[in-house]
Amino acid sequence: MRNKLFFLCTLAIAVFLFTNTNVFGENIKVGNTTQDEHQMSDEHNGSHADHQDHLMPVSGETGEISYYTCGMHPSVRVSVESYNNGDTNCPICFMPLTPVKKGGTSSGGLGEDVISQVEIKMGELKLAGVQTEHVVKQALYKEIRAVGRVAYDPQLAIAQDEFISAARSYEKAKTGQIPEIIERAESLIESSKRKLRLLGLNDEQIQELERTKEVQTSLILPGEKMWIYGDVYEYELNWIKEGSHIIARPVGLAGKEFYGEIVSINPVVDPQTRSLRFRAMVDNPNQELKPEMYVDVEIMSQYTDTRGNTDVLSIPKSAVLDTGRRKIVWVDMGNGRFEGRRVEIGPEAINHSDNPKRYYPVIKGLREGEKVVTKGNFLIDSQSQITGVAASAYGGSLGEENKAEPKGSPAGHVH
Amino acid sequence: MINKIIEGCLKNRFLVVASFVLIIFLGIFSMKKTPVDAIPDIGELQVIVYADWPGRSPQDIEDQVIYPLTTGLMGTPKVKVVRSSSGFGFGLVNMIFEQGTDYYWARTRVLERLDFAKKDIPQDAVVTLGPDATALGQILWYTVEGKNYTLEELRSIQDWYVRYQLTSVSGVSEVASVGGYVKQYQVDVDPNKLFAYEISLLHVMEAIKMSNIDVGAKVFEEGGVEYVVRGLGFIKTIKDIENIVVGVHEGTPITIKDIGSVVLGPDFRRSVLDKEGREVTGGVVVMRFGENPLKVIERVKQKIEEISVGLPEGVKIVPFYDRTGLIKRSLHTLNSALTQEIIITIFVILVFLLHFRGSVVISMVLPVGVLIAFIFMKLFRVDANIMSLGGIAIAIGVMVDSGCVIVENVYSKLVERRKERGVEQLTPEDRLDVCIQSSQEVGRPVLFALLTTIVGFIPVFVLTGQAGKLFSPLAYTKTFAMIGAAIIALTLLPTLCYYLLRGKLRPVEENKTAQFLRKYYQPFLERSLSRKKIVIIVSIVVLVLGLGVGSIMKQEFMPPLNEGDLLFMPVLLPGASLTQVHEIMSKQNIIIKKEFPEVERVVGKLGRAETATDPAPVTMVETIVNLKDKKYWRKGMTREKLIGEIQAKTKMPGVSPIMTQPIRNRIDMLATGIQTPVGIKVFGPDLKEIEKIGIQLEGIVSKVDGAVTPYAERVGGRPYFEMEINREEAARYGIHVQDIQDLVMSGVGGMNITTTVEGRERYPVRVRYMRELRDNPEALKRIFVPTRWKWAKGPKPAQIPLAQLVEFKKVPGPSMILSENTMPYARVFVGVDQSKVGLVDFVENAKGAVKKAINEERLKMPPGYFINWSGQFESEMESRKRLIPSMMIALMVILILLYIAFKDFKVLGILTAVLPISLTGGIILLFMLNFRFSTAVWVGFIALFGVATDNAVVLLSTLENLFKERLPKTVEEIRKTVVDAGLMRVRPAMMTTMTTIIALLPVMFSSGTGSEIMKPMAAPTVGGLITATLANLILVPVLYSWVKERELKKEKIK
Repeated sequence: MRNKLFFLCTLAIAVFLFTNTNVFGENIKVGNTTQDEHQMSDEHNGSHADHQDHLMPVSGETGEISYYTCGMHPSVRVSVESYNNGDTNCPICFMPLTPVKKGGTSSGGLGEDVISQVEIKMGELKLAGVQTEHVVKQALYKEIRAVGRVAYDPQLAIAQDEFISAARSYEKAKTGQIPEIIERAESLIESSKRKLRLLGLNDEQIQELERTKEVQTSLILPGEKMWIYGDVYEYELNWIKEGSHIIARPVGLAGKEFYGEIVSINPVVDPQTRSLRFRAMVDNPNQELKPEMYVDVEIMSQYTDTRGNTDVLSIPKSAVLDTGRRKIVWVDMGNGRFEGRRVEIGPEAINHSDNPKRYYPVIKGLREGEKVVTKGNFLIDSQSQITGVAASAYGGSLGEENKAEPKGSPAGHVH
Repeated sequence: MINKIIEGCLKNRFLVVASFVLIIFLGIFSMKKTPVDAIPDIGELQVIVYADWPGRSPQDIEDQVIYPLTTGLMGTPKVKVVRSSSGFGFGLVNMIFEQGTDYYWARTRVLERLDFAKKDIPQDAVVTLGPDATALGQILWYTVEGKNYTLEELRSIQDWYVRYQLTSVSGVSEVASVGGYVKQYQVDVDPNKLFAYEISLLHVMEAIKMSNIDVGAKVFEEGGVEYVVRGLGFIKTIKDIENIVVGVHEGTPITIKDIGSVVLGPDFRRSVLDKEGREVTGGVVVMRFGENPLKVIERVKQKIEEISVGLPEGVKIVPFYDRTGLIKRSLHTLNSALTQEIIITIFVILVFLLHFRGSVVISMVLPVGVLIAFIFMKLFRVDANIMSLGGIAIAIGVMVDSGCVIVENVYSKLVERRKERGVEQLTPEDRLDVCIQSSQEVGRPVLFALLTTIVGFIPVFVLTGQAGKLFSPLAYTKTFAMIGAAIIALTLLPTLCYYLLRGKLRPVEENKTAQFLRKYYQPFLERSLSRKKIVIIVSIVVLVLGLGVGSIMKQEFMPPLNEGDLLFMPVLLPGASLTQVHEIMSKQNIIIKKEFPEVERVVGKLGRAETATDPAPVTMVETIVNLKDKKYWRKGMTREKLIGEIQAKTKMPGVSPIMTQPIRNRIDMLATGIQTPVGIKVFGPDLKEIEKIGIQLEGIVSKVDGAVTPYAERVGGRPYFEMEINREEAARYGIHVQDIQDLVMSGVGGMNITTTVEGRERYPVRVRYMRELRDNPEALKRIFVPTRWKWAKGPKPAQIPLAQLVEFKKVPGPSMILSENTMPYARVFVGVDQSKVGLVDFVENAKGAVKKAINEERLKMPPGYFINWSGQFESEMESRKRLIPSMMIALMVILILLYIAFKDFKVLGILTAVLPISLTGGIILLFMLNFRFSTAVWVGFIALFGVATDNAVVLLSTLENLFKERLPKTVEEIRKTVVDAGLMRVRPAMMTTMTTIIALLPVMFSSGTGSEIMKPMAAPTVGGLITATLANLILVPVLYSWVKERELKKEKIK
C-alpha cells in the first residue's frame, strides 16, 4: 500500500513537471500566432489607409512591439526575440531598452523630399506642447544693421555751393555767348560735378541740386531732413540699394526712431575701414537729430524670389531644423501624423508688422496653407529617429560629406 | 590537537565562559561599528582626473586637454587601464588601478604624474583630481528652497553657506551644487559702439581686469601707533563696473556704461533642478571612499538641522534622496530574516531533540556565531550590506549542524553512561569525562564538515570583476559564520553541555519525533530496497527532467534590487537644448506629482551637478520619485503597474521614458566598456575613419553564424556650428587667427574675466556682446575684428566683420569622445545567440571573417588603426578560467577529503551520485518559482554542494561501521543492516536538513528590500536539499545495498 503511494507521488511530480514544460511550449506557440495575426491586420490597415486618402501607408499603432531601442542611442535595435532572451539593456549605456510599437512610422513610397513620417497620439502632442503655423505668402524684409552718423559735412556743403555757383555762372555765361567763357564755365561745372560724385552724390542728386540750386544746410546744421552717413561691408552690398528703407536710432536719444531711405552709395571702398559709405536722408521733424550724432541704422530691403515676386512663401524660423547637411521641416498632416520634409530656404528675414518675427522664405519643399511645426519639432524629429526609418537630423555619421552652408548667396535679389 | 582543545576547554570552564562573554561584547561592539550600506561598492578602484574648460566642444577638450593629459598620465604604476571621455565643457580621465591597490597611495601617484602631465594643456583649462569618492558615494541629495527668494539668491545660500558647512561633516568628500543660477555681473557690450569709439573688446576686458584689486602696503607709524595700509579697489557694485574707463574719445573719458550695459544675471548653466514643476536649487553630498554611509548621512542630517537655524527666513533644506531608507529597509529585511531564522531553528531543534535545555545549548551557536562573524568582518574590513548579511543568513541552517552533532552525541553518551552506572544522576567527574570523550569523538567530523563547506566556497572567492565584488563579501561572511560556529561547537558547547545537560534525560529511543519518523521511514526504505531498479529509474528521470528544465531557463547577471525610490530618466537625443529638456522635465514632474497619489515627492535633475562623479549631459534627466508607504497606495497598485502608468501618462514624442533605480543607475553608469557578450573596439586617430571601419565591421560580423543584431556606434550626433577661418582673407586684412578666436571666445561665448570679492561670496564678472547681437548666425557675421596693423594710410586700425574672415557652417559632430589608453575608439556591439554557437567559438569565427575581409581588401585598415575584441566573453572566459578549475579543485579536495574519511572508491561513487540529484532539486524549485539563472543562483548552488553530501557522509559512515560490526552474509541480512543504519540516522539527518531548509524559509518568504537577491540564492539550497535528503534517505541506502549484494553474489560465485 505505502509502496504504491510512493510511486504515485513520484509519478505525480514527474507528470506535473512534464505538463508544466508543455504548457510553456504551447504558450510560445500562442504568442507566435497572435503576432502573425497582428502583422496581417497591419497590412490590411495599411492598404485601407491607402484607399482612404492617397497618402503614405501609415498604419495606426497596433500595440504590437516591433523591436526595442535605447533612448540615447536610437540606432540600437534589439529584436523582440532577443529582448525576451534577456537582452533588456542597451549595449552601450546599459540602460533599460524601450519598446517601439509597430506602425509608428513608415518610409515606403515617400516622395523625394519626404524624409520620414511619424504618427503621434494627440495626448502626447498636447503634452509636448507642439505648435504649428501655416505656410503663408507675405512680404519679407532683410534687415541689416550698420552704424552711422548724422552728417556733418562742410566739405560737401562747400562743394555743393561751388557747384551751384558754377551752375549759375554757366547759366550767366550762356547768355553772354562768349565761347571761351562758356567753355570755362562748362569745365568748372564738370569739375565741381566730379567733386560731388566723388563725395558720394549720384547723377540724380546732382541734377536735383542743379534744379533746386539750394545748398543742403542740414549737412552742417539741424534741419527738417537730415543726412545719415553709414558704413556697410562688401558682403552686405547684395542687400543694399538706393531707395532701401532705413530706420535710424540715435545712440543718445534712447527710444527715438527716424525714418528715411538710402539716397546714394559711395563708389569706393574706404581702405581704412574696409567699408562702403552710404548716404541716407531721414525725416527730422522736430530737429532732434543733430550733426555728428551717432546712430544705429537698420536697413530694410525687401526680399524677392527669383521670379521677382515680393509676396513669397514663408515659414517661421523655428520651423527649420538645420543639421548642416540638410534642412528639415515637419509638416502637420492632421490626426497626429507628421511628415519630415527636406526644404530649400532663402536667407533669414523678418515680416512687416508691429511685432516683426523671423521667417525663412521657402524656395522648395512646401505648399501654401500647409501647417508646419514651430514648437516641439525637435521632439517629433527625435521620435522619428527612435521609431526608426530615416535617422533624419542628427543621428547620422561623421563619415558623410559635410556640406557647408552656401556662403552669402541669397537666392533672391533686392529691390 | 582538537582533543586537547576540547579537554582544555572543559577543564577550564570558567575561562571559556568568561572569554565568550568577552567575545559577545566585542561582537556587539563590532556590529555597531561595521560600516553599513545597501549593497557592496562594486565599482572598480579608480581615480578620476577632472578637467574643466568651460564652453569648449568635446572635440577641443579631447584634442587640447584630455589627450595631452592622458599621455602624461600613462605609465602611472599599478594602473590597469586609462579611460577617458570628453564632453561639452569638461573631460574626465578615469585611471583604473589594479585590485587591491591602496586608494590614497594611488591618488598620490596620480597627483605626482599630474604635475608633469599638466604642462601641455592650455592654461585656462582647470585640471583637478576628482573627489576621493565613487559615484556610489552620492548619498544624499537636497534642495534649498524658499518662497520669495530668487534662484540666484538660493544658489548663493547653497554655494556660500550650506555647501561648506556640509563639507565640514566628517566622512563627506565633497558637496556639489546643482540647479539654479550662479549670480554673475554681466557686461554686455554693444559692438556698434565699440566700433564707433574705436575700442576693441580685448581692451575692454583688460580694463575690467585691471579695475578689481585690493592691495596691502605694509604699515606706517604715527604717534607710536602702527597703521596697516590697504588700497581698496575690489568691484563691489554694478556702478563700480559701469564707471571703469576704457578709453578717451576727443577728450572725454569713455566708460563701460557708454559702450554697453552692466546687469546682475545668471551665469551660463549646465544643470537645472526641478521640484514638481517649480525650479529650485540644491546640492549633492558625496561620501568619502570607505566611509559608513548610514553614519555619514546621520551626521549630515544633524548638520542640516544645525545650520537651518542660520538660514534666511523661509529658506529650507529639504533632502529628497538619501540612502538611509533603503539601507534601513534592507537591514530590516535581513535582520528580521535572521531573527526568524534563529527562532525557527531553535524550534526545529526543540522538536527533534525534545529537550529544552539541550536546544538552548545548540541555539547558543547562532547569536554568538553571528557575533563572531561580525568580529571577523571588522577585522577583515567587510562591510555590512545585503550581500554580506545574506552570507550569514544562508549559513544559519548549516551553523547549527555541528552544534547538533556535538550536543546529540554528548546527550546520548550521557544517557548511556547513566544506564551503565545505573544511576539517576552522574557525579561531576563522570559527567566531565563523558563530555570530554563524547565531544572528542565528533570533534573531527565537525571540523571535517566545516572544511568541506569552506573548500566548497572557494569558487566564489576567486570570482573577479563585478560578480567578485558582489559575492566575495558573502563568501567571506559565510565562512566567518561557519568558523564562528565551529569555534563555539568545539569550545563553548561541551562546556555548556556539562552545565545544562542534567536532570531527566530521556533515551533517544523514547523520543516521540524519532519514533514518528521511524514509523514511516522503515517500511518505505524496505520497499525501496526490494525495488531498486525503479528507484534508480525514477532518480534518472528526475535528473533528466531537471537538466531539461535547466536548459530552457533564462539568464541574467543579477536579480534587480528593489530600492524603494524610482529613478525616472526621460532621455532626449544629443541635439536637444537645455530649455527644451527643462520644459519636458518640468511638465512630466507636474504630471507625476498630480496624477499619482502614490508619489510623495518628485525632484528632477537635468545635466550634471558640479562634481567629477556626475558626467551626465544636458539631454539626460534624472528624476527621483519618492514613493509613499504602500498603505497609502491605491487599491491593486503594484510597483510594476505604477511604473507602467507613469511611463504612459508622461509619454511625449522624441522622449524615451526609462525607469530605473538610483543606485542601479549609478552602477550601470560606472560600468564603462561593453556590456554585450562580444564587442569590437575600433581604435584610431580619426573619429570619422573609426566610425567607417566600425560600420564595415558591423556588416562583416552580421554574416557570422550566431550573430544577433551587431551595432556599430555612431560617433556624431551633436550639431556643431563651426567658424572656419579663411587664412587668405585674414592675411589680406592683416589679422591673426588668435585675434579672431579671442573675439569669438569672449564676444560670442562670453568669458568670466575676473571675480568680485564680496565678503565670503565670490561672483564672476563676464564680458560678452549683447544678446541679440551674437545669438544667431546672422548677428555673428557682424562681429568686428580689428586689424593688427594700421591699415593703408589711415590713422587707425580697421574693423573687419567676421563674415569676411570665416566660413560659417553647421555640421554634425561628436557629443562625447571616448578613448582608452590615449587612443579614441568606437565600439561595435555584437549580441550572440548562444543556443546556436558558443561564445568563444563565435569570437574565433568572427575573428576569422574579419581577417579574411582584410586579406581580400574588403575592409581597409589604414596604418594607425587597429581593432580589439572584448566584451562579456572576456570576463566569461576569465570567469571560466577561474571558476571551472577552482570548482574542479574544490570538488577534488572534497572528494579527497571524503576518500581520506572512507578509503573506499565505491562509497565515493555513491556520494558523487548525490550531487547531481541535489542540483536537480535546486533547478526544479527555481523553475517553479520562475527565477532566472544568475550569479546569485550559482552561488546558491555552490553553497548547496558544501552541505549536500554532509548527511550522506554521516549515513555512509554509519553503514560502514554497522557492516563491519555485523558482517551480514545474506541479502536479507544486508537489507536489514541497511535499514537499521538508516533508522539510526534518520532523525539526525532530518534534523540537520530540516534546520537548514526551514531556516531558509523566512528568506524565501520575505518580501522586503533585498529579498530579491536573497531569494534566488536560498532557492537552490532549499530545493537541492529536499531532493538531496530524499536521495540520502532512499537512493544512498539502495545503492549501498546494491553494491553489497553484488559483492555477496561475486563471493558466492567464487
